[in-house]
Amino acid sequence: MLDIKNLQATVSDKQILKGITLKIGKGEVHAIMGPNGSGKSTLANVLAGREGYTVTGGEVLYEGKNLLEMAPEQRAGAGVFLAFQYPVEIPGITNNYFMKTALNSVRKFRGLPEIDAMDFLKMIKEKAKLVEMPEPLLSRFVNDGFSGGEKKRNEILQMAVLEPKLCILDETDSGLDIDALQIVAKGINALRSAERGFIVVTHYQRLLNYVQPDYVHVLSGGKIVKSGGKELALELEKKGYGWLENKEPIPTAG
Amino acid sequence: MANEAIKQIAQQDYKWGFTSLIESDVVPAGLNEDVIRMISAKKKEPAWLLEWRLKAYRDWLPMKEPHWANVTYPPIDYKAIRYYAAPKQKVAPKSLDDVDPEIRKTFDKLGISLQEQERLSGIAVDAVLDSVSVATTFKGKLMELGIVFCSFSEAVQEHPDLIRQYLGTVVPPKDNFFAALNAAVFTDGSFCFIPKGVRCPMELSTYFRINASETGQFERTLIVAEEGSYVSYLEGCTAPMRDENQLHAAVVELVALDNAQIKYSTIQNWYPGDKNGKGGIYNFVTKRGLCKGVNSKISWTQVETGSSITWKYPSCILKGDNSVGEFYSVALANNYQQADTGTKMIHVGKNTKSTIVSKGISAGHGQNTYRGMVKILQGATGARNYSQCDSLLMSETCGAHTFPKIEVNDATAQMEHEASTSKISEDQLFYCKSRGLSAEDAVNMIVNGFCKQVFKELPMEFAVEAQKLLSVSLEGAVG
Amino acid sequence: MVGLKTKNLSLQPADAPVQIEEVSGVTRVHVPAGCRASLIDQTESRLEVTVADGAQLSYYKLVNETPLAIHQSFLEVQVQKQASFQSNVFLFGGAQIRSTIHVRMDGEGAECALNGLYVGSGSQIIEMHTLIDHIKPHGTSREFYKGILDDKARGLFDGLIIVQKEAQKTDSAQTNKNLLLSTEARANSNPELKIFANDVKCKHGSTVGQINANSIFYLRSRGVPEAEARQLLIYAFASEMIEPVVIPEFRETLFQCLNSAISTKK
Repeated sequence: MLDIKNLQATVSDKQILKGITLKIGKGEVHAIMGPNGSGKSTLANVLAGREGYTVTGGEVLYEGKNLLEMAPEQRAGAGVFLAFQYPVEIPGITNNYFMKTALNSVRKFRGLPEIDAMDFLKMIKEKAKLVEMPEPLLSRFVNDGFSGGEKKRNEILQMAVLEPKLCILDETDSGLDIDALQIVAKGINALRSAERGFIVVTHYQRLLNYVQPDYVHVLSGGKIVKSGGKELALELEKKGYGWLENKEPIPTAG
Repeated sequence: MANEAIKQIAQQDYKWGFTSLIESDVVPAGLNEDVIRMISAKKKEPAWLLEWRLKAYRDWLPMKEPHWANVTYPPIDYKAIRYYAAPKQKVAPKSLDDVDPEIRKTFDKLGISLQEQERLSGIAVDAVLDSVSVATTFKGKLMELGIVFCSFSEAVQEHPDLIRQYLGTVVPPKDNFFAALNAAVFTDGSFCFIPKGVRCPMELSTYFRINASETGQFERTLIVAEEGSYVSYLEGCTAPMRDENQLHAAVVELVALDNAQIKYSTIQNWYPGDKNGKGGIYNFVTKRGLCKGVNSKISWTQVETGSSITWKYPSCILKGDNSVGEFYSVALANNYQQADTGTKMIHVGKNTKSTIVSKGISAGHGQNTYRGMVKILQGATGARNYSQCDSLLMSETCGAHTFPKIEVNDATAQMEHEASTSKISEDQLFYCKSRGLSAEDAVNMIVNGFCKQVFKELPMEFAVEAQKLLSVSLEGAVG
Repeated sequence: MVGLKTKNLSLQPADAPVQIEEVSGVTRVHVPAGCRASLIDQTESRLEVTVADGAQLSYYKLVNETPLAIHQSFLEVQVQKQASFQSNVFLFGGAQIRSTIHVRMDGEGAECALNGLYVGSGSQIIEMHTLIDHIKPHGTSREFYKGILDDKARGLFDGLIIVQKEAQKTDSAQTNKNLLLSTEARANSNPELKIFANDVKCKHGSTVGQINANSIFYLRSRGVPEAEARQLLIYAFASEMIEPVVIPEFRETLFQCLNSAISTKK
């Protein structure tokens, strides 16, 4: 589904991604781990099409099409979803209104009609239960005054509503306590399916206890230096990232 | 008999290095073209500079003294001021025992070394010779790099072309009342020139200007940093400076060309007047920096604890694209002091950035006013400004006022301004005391924390002095 | 809207014991002790309001004049002990609009909240002048004004807060946010503080900027096209001020005004 070939990118003239090669297949959950500054969030943001990141080499094919040429909203329409590390607050727009607008935009891309208002309300209340979000929060302004945990849960809720094909979670577990983490993990797991692919970017192994990955890749210095199964995450937890820093990057992974 | 008189005068003159017999230091009070010609002649200035002065004087005549500041003071009688005084022969104390005990106490509290105390008191001892030799060593080093650092008067003689090129380009005489007055009658000041690509290896301090005479009323400073150069300039000192001259109207002009950086730090502790506010100094200064070149940067950092009335707005004109202007200030107004200070950041070029951090502390009956202007002109695309003005109130009789003016004429600009006013919280005080600090130490620590953002912009030694100065100035302000 | 007491103002509830009388061109409003009421004002007015001990008044003002009109309104309020005054001002249409509000916090424990939204386009000039004078202790004041300026419009926010010497324990916060949508639009913001008491908490903040790039990206990453995302965010910026209005019909009217004011915004 996603084919990344030798992706290179800069941020503010600094070369962060120095050649990432990765293949994500349908139904697969790939964890991307690495020390701070390794380029994990950069990778997530480049895939989502955020401004401020310049691709200097390589290519990314999503369902056979050139992802890097698509505008952010087109990527969303095509089924790419980024759960932000720092979700944005938008006072003035309620969660309900925001999600309905987003859903209708995405449906338009897919050639579907707009969702009926009543159907939408019914649907969103159900999905809210998935992430244990109390209904009153749905009428609040987007992320306005939300705690860290509530914001992350809101990201997963949006993911559930938009039903993307490729979910990129950018350090969704950062700043969460155990309870919040479990709720978020539950929401993610509920969305796992044979048709859906996940890229889970995380610094700590914790989240991976609840969201078991199929593959684990370690990013260091802008390149993937090691790939393996879920045991790799446990090994990192024990040994830290230091033991990998001196390894040679491997040519292919996935 | 006349011969006797002339002989006496001649001898006097000789002692001070004047060579003309007709010279006398009795210049009548008041200001007119003759006084200006006399000043210019004494300093042996070239004709163009005299013309410049005279034009400024003529521009000054119809001007009205500005009265919009939030300060009150008895009217200044411009006719009563003597605009030129030959360097006075200071009756130098023979030893520190002759120095005013109050001043000595302050020296001690500020941790100023005995040697330094002697130098500051003008005691003619080896110490002075030492500092003269120290200064000469540095001067030599600077000359090797092509850096010019000397008195303004000297610069007029040695580097007239540079002076002529840059004088008045940042603060033209017509700019304001005090700028015009200064342009007409300025006596001396500092000149600093850093040539292309040179990074000045040491902090330039007015200390090293060999100048035994008293600080002039109307000082003029000009600093020019050529492409790719850097200089850090320190002005003032923490020792309380007394002066008979009540009015100080200085002008400071800074010019930074492409990729150049000027850091200008000031600690000013002019005599603030007695506890009832009498006799203090009025400090009215026009300081402006022109970020002329691309990627240029000018930073103003100041700690103002003195003067009866302070009236200064160091400003930056951000003309070159990507230029940066910074203003960091701590202003203290205690007893009956009045401080009306702030800054102006004018964004002209593209992608310019300005940062303003102003910390005001009011105690006693002090009145502290922050007056700022952030102006983003149309065409100044991508301009960014962040301003933070905080006030700390330490008594029930003081005042803190904030008047920022923000004008944004470009849609791609971003401006953010925050201000807060509070007093030292009981909680903070209790916390400190519960860890063993005395009330006085607690207050000092909290005030330091309040000012930290500004202090960390000061060159290190200055920062240490500033902290001490602040604590000494706040003595008795608690409780 | 029910129950007009005079032709300019609408009182809610209609039977609230609020005294309104016209005295030589000025409308005097007295909200008696303990009373709670709302006042909706949709015309050019000069008002002198007293909110007596423990009373609460919510004031709503809408200025949506024709494009060439010049509008000047004055509002002076005296808030007495433990009383509360809330003002919500919405300025949309008119060539030149000037709104002046002076609040004297004349009683201990007085509260006041001044909210405002101004949306300018074409060559409109919109000015807001506010003064909150804390005279007695334990007063609380909050000010929140937002402006959207397009084309060659000019907006000025001039907010002075004075805390007198006896007004200890004052708690005051003031915020002005401006959104500039065109290269020739202009925003002036002059928040001013004059503080003579020392045991107080006062702060103010002011921002001028464009639509947050991060917010635009957030919406686009959820499938909303860029132009629509911008429009939505401009709407959100303003709607934060309208959403909290508790009178349904008035809120509706405000949203209608907002929609037509920003329908052509970029």
